[in-house]
Amino acid sequence: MSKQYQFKLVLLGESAVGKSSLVLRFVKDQFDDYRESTIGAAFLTQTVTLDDQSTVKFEIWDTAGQERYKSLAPMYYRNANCAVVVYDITQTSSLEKARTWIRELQRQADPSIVIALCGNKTDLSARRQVSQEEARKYAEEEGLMWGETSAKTGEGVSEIFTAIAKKLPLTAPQASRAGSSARPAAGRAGVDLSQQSTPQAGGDQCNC
Amino acid sequence: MGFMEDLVRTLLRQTELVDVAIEAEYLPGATAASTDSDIALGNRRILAVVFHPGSFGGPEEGSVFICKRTPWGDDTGLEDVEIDRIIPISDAFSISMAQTRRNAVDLHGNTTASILNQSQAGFLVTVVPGESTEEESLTFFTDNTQALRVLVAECKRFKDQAPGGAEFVGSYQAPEPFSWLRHYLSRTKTPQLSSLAWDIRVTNTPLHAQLSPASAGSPGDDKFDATVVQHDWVSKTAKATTTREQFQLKLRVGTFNVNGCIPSQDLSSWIQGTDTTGVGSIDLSPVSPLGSAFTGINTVLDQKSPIEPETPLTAKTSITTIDEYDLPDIFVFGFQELDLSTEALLYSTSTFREDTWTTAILAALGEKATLYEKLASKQLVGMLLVIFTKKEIVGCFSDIQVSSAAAGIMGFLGNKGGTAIRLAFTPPDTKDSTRALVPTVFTFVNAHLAAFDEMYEKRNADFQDVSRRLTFPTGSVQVMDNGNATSASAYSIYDCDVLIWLVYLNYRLDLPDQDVRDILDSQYEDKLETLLKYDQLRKAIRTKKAFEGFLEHSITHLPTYRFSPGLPTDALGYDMKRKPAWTDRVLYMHDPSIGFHQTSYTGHPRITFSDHRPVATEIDITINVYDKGQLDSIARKLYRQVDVLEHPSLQPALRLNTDSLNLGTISYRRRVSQELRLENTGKIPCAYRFIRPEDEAPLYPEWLNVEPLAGLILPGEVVNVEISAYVGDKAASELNLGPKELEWTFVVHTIYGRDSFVGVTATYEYTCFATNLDRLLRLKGSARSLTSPDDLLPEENARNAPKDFMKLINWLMGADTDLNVLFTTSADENLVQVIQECLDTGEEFTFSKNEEKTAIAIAFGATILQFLKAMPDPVIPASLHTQCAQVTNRDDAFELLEAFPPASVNVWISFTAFLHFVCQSSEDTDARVVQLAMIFAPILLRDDDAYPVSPFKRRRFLSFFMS
Repeated sequence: MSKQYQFKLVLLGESAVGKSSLVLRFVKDQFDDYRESTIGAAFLTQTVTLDDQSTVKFEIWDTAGQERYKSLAPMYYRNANCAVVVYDITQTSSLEKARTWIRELQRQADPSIVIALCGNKTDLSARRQVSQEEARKYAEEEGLMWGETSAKTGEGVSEIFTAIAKKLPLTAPQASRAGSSARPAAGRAGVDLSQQSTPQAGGDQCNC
Repeated sequence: MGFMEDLVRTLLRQTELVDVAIEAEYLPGATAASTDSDIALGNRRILAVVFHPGSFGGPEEGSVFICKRTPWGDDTGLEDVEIDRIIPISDAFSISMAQTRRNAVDLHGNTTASILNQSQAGFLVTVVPGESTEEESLTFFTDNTQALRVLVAECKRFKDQAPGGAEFVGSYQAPEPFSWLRHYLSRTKTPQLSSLAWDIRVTNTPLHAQLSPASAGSPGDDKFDATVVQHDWVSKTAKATTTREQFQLKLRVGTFNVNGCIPSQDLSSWIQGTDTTGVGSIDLSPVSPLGSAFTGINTVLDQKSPIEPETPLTAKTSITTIDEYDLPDIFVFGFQELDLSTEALLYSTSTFREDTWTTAILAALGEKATLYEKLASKQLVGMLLVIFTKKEIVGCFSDIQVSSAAAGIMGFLGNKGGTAIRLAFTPPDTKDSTRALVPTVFTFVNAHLAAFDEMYEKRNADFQDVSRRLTFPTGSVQVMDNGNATSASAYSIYDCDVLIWLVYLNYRLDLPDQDVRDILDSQYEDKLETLLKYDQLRKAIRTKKAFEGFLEHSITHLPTYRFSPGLPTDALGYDMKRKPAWTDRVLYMHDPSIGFHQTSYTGHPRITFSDHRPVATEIDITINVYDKGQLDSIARKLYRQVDVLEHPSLQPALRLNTDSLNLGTISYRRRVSQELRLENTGKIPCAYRFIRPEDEAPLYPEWLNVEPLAGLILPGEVVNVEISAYVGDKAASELNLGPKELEWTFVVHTIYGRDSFVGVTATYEYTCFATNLDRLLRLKGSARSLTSPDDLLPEENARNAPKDFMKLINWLMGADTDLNVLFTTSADENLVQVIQECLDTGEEFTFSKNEEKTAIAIAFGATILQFLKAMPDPVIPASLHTQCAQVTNRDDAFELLEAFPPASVNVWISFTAFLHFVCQSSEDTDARVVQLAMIFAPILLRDDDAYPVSPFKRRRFLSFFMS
């Protein structure tokens, strides 16, 4: 019997590094050249099937990167099983901002949170300011997952989410009991959906 | 896709698809075995295979929808399709077909002989819903062989991929099998908006308060919220777009604790309301015990609906009343303590008392008695509830049900408790007798709750208990519970449009006995209002301990309790054993769409044989009358229009015109507002709600307001949300201590969608109002000139008196004007604003030459009142109030000033000296002292629950300084 998991994932990072584009590529395999800045937080879901046929469903909160909304961010990363902190490889300052986010997560988020550092916009590598070595070294020091992506070409996108999907069931604490609530973010722990008891087949609601 | 498929599609959400649909004839009672026997002409049905594309990787799920076609009520010539039954294609489902030859069936309504005589070839199709023997198979006939083969094949295909009981592995996100059917099942069971009895407490709750708890990042229960918003929108829109007529009913409702007496006086003053001498109704504007939240409830009929009706309402609205005489259409009387004998407590079978009182009521009606007839009654030991109506409208009442609940000794003896009557009123239809009109449901409760002053908590518990246990069986009626079909076994007293409690409540006054009597015997104009501040019932409503959400008309009559013959009495005739109180009350709650106007609410002191005085009220009720068929049909269509708030491939798309609003400068008691435009740019309807930015935070701070906080927006539609700022006393007292630059981020949640942020900024202007004395003394200059909240004089350099307040007094002392009009005449708000602005800026008071000096003086008086009222703490600290109340002479009063904080002494002395001056300049100094004490004592020595002090004694203390 294959397993089903459900995890809450939050995207953080400076404004205009491509968080929403990354999610759009991952969820819908699409790309818009001119995306509006996210003013708020979007909720999306995507399911990844792993080699052993188990499935991982991501509940994704794509948050606003603008500084003025920073105070609201904890509301979105609380109870998250993983955070993808995105920077733009053509902007050194965006990696600095990513470091700030990571420090905040390490200080305030749940200690078991899996953090992935993601350098976006590899299609613009001609203008690269952040070297792979520098980022990888930082990630290793902090114990983060790391990868580079291009939301525009799709390069590396499914790889980084699949890597997270593989890692999460191993690290996230299992819920002792699956919650009955359908609310996203309801449960802190990842949920192994296959452990839930089999509900009754349709009969009972159909006595019309 | 053919015509049948199109018809069925009109019933579906965008999330479901029609596979195939055929027309067939339902053969009730037929089985596959009895093939070609004589078959009566049956009902037309549409058999359709409807499926739900698999969600979250699951298989497609199919169901057989059996639909009925019914002609439309209006003149469009269209047909309406209704879901008659739904059979999910589970692995237990089976379908079979068998060829038959039979007499022709008229499927198309053509009753020509040639068709009838033809023998017709066709198929019988038998559907077996499941293995259970309780579920009968259904048989249909059709001659559309080709389509039938497709239908059967599709059924088999869905059956093969149907989730079986054992193999299915559930998850809490992947829906249970066939959960999508719930939507349609609830629709087949209760498709009618008109027949739903919604809890009146819910209909009186604002939409946003009905939604699930939510905050940023935790959207709450979107599914539940979607259902609530949809229903709200459909019912409001349907009612606004349906032709409506209005109908007026006059009710007379009376309550009387008869103390075991039998009627020994003429009751006509109470029954007919012909005599109200001595308890004259003064101001009859409805007053809510909940404060301003409910004011204007009687004008709700005039409110704009979310969607404008096609033609102006006035053109369609006609008001009908039963007759032109002003007699009540319905009398409702509640009696308590009919029989105090011990036997009655145990065996309450006798109808003797009920008959006696019924006779007395009819006698009191005199010759008019012939116009009326007893409609219903319910007695429980000493409690009797009886309803009379005009004979000509007896036929308008239906579904009359009674109930009772005992709450007396040991919780079951019927000396306490309640009796209730529920009934539906459908107005006589003078225009079109073929129409079915939507009835209005009334519930009346007559209750008697625990006695004695100190039983306050017990009374509250009794109320909760009695209101829960008074129920009425629903029969076979199914009610909707948040969109899911459930069968409720009983209606509660709240499942109605108008709920009226007529009660002997035993709620008393939280004041010492002598205070109550002194105040009642005083000449104060506001004596009743003063006492009612200490009324336990109002306190229970305020603190939501009992009667939450109920309203009561303002009380302008004297307490109705207690006048025990033979006992010593006070000057007003109240006996000395019990504290006078308003124990006999009429409370109500009604659907916001119903006009409820009380024209009187009085006691009847001339009926003296009981230890209570009876109370009666007259109510004009305006109900909206809808055509049931039209309302339901419109509601069904509207439901279909907004069914899909969640779609597998389409995201709700809500666009905000801005992500930041600057409200500019905001100052004390000046309202500013801006509009936020929400546009649905998507293809499906969407719903929005403002949610908390943090779990524990409020939706918005005290100084901000948003309207409306939740709603549904159709594709392409724009909703304007008003974001406004108003700094009242409470907000100012907080903002005065904080930074000038204000900011707030609103979180707008789209149901099934994203959270959007809207930042609001404003610059606050500090004010000297809503500031405590010690802070006022440390202001360097004007409040407005403060650079930060901490920009104050050092404590040791504090002033002796608050200069802003002294400026107001000084102006009036120096003004050569008539001071007799001060504090009692209402002021020109513009002038008050000018004075307020001058105080805050520190500028000289300047007025245009046209202003009359008297008007300016009155405005100064109003500003003084405002200044004192707005102070977060009273001029005299609450801890000193008890001492103030104990003072019995002028010398002691002045001596007590030494105990006051220095700042309080200075304000007190200068202000009371000014009041003394005002009194001296009056022709009737004593009367003026009484009047000013009445106005200022409750402000200067403000009520504090921790230090309860008689209002009377507080006035006395202040008077020592004025006279």
